[in-house]
Amino acid sequence: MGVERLTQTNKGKFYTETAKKTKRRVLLGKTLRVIGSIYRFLMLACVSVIVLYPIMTMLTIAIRPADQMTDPTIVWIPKSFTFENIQTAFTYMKFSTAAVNSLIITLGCSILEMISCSMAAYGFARYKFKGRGILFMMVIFTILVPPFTIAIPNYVLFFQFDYFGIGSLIGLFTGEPLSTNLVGSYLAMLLPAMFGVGIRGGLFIYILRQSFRNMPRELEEAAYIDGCNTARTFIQIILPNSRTMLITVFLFAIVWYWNDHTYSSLLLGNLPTLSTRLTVLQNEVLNFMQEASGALSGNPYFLSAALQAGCLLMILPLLLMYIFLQRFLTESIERSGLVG
Amino acid sequence: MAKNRAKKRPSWEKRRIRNGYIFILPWLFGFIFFFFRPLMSAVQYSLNEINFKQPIEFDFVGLEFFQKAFVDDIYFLPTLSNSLTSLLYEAPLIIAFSLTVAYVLSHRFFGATAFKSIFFLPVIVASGIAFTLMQSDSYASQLGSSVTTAAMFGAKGIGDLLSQAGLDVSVVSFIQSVVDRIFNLTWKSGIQILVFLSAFKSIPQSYYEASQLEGATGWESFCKITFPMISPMLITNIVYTIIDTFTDFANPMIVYINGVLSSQSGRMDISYGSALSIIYFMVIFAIIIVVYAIINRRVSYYNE
Repeated sequence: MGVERLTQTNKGKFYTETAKKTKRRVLLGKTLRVIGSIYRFLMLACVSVIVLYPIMTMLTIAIRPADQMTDPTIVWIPKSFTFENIQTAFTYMKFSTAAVNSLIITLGCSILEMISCSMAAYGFARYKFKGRGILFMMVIFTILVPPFTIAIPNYVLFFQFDYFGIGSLIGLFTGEPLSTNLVGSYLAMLLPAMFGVGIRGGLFIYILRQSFRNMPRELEEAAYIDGCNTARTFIQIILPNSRTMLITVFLFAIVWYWNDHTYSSLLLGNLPTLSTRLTVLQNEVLNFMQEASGALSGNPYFLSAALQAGCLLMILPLLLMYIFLQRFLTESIERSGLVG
Repeated sequence: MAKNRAKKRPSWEKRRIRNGYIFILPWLFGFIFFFFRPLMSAVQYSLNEINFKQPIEFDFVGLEFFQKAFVDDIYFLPTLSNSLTSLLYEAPLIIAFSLTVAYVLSHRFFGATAFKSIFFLPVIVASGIAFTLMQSDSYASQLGSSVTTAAMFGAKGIGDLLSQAGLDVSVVSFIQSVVDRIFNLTWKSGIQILVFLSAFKSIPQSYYEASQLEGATGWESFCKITFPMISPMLITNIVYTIIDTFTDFANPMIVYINGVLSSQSGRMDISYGSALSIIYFMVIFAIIIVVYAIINRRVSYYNE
């Protein structure tokens, strides 16, 4: 009887102790988790500041009146707002013409590049033909070659555009090669995009090929059995089924074409686009100020404000697009898997 | 009758092959005319002396310009080694940083969506000329406030502190240059974060559940599940980072080659510039192949 009581008390003691231990452990885990999430939040917030810093600087300078530029009491928010800087940038960037040109080139090139790249990607993903491996290596090769390596030959190519070699071929017989100057016309940007070798075309082919490869073959087989031909299967079955990836890639294409400076400064000549106008904005403003006042140099703070306002004008459409589509962009990349 | 039909319509296999060619035909056409032909002309320029008359004349000089780059040019090799060393520590830092941020962002927590949209911002903005101008505008960083970029991301204090603590000068200068570049590194890792994040999301959740049942800690499951599963994307990211760093506007080698190629510098030399860019491209290519060969052996592919 004594023994029994002893074990019982021991047992009870044991249970209360374990209960206490578990309680303590749960509490410890909870506090650790809270500390962990606070730490995570702080870390991410700190890094976000680095990302947001230049954009915030741009914003605060672009909306600041000229007399508050050097005011040391203002850190971020100026005492009053002005649209003067933005107006200056608007005039000297020839914003309305440049924006229309940029828009035409960006949209046209992105759409054409999507068409040609998705076709090529589908060919590489689903069909087995001789030389597929080598040709796909060439796709990768186009990603690796930096654009400036072929910049000058490209300029020459479009300056004396020989209609894909036909002009030169005629020249062999008549002695006078047929050529036309495409530098400064939209075609200089549109043609490479149309044939899938526009800006980062190789990368798009690579990404789309991964996503086409991931799709079940049964979809196509079912379509063939139902009597679709190849073109119809591609347009009505394959493309709609990979639309998230297509739209993501399309957004990338828009961003890269809108931001492009390398190709547009090389091939577009005097045709103003936002990126080429932005690089000459400061000079233009300076020239105007010198002519107006006869001074040798303009107020550097004024120039800087004009430049930041110009940057704001250029980035704003992309930022707006991003704000509306960012949820779609992030989710689609996560779900459809860039990875494949 | 049957024979006739067979003659009219090629077999299924043959049609598949033909269709494959039709699908890649536009790209092949573009590749030949807008990529391969210019590339060949670049090689031609680099092997010839160009006389700008009407019509342009080429004098074949062989590998003279390549020789000039390595023997005569006193700027080329130092600039090249400069951009190679900066790659050597920039690429691992970018990869480590983007891996960490992507891992943190891959969990669900309060504000995850907001942070994600902030970290993807560089993808939208950083590829453009606007960002380069925004940053290089020295007056903007002085304007109005005591919060300047130099004070915010500079590392003078850290350098002094560490050298007082008795660290070697080379170590201190390394740490200082890293801290100085925190800003650039963060802005360069947008795409990498995005790729890693999608890689994390593609790992089946059941793997983690199984490992948890077996008693694996968080660290163990990261090392033995997460890391091997994302290793194919790791190599993609490394290659992308190398290409991106090498073809960046601000890369000293790019600045140098553009200076040779452009007429503004007063010594425009297309042949020499083409030769330089071909050498540079070969170097990039060699580095990528070496890195790929080293890492690819350790990468585990799920399907194989």
